[in-house]
Amino acid sequence: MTKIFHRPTHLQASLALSALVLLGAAGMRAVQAADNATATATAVVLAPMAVTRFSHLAFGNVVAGNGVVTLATDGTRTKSGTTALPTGVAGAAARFDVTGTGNNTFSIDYTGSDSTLTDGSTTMAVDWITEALTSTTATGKTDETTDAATGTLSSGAAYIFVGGKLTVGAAQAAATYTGTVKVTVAYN
Amino acid sequence: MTTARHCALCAAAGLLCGLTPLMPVFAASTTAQAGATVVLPASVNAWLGVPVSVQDLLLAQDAPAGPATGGLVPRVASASTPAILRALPVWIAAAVESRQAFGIDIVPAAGATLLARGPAAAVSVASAATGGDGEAPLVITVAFN
Repeated sequence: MTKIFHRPTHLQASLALSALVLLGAAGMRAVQAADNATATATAVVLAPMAVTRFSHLAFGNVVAGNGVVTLATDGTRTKSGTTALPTGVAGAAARFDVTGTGNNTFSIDYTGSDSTLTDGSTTMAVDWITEALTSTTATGKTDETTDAATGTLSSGAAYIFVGGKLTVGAAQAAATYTGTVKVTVAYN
Repeated sequence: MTTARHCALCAAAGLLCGLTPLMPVFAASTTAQAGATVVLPASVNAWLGVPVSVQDLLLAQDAPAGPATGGLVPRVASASTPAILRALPVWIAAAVESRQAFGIDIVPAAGATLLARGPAAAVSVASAATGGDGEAPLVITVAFN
């Protein structure tokens, strides 16, 4: 039997070439689909923040008289006006101890603090003096106009000191006056 | 859980829920008490320039504030205070505490401060007659507070 080979026509050649091109393109796409990249996913778990009261705030004994008693954040007392400060009872600033993780920063809020001290019937206006430090030694701040709104932990610890300016009246009734300072902290 | 969902669940369950609005779970807060004790000024006006005894001063120091108290006496500028009236309150307090009424030399002080204790914001000056060998009595004069 004799084998007869037909010479491909021009159309047949073109179809064959096109098929080869298509196959080649498909092969290239297969190579590109194998490419890849990675991204790292991280999460930092922070210990819950905590704040505890280390000490209360005490203006001590104050003699009735027009004036303002300033209790610095280090507990130092000064006064203006005719009020007087007997030295029998020392003043003391409040201290709050903050704990958390590492050296993160945190916000400080004083919402809920009283603006007056009261004996139940009469009051005295008070303006708090605040500062946040990484040391247990206060600086003696006496400026009540700028509150410490942020703090920074140092190895997981920070300290908030609160003093105040107390306005005493000329006929301020003799009594013991009390109020509350509230501090709320949260990670930034 | 969102606050809204939390409220809905509480309402559906008929619970009286005190957790709304929820604070951020990462916030922490606490409080401190602030206190001040107001005392009335001691009545030392009547003592001005009048010698008083150590016992009188002790009583003044220990006396509680009350209706018998009076107004504060203006402080005398130290520069204009006669030398004999210059106060040495710390020394006076020490003298009162130890009840040493004799034989203490006077050392003039440039100014005066409040006595170390008691509700009375009194400041006194002291003098001692020079009798030698501690024979003269200590005289304490309340000058200002």
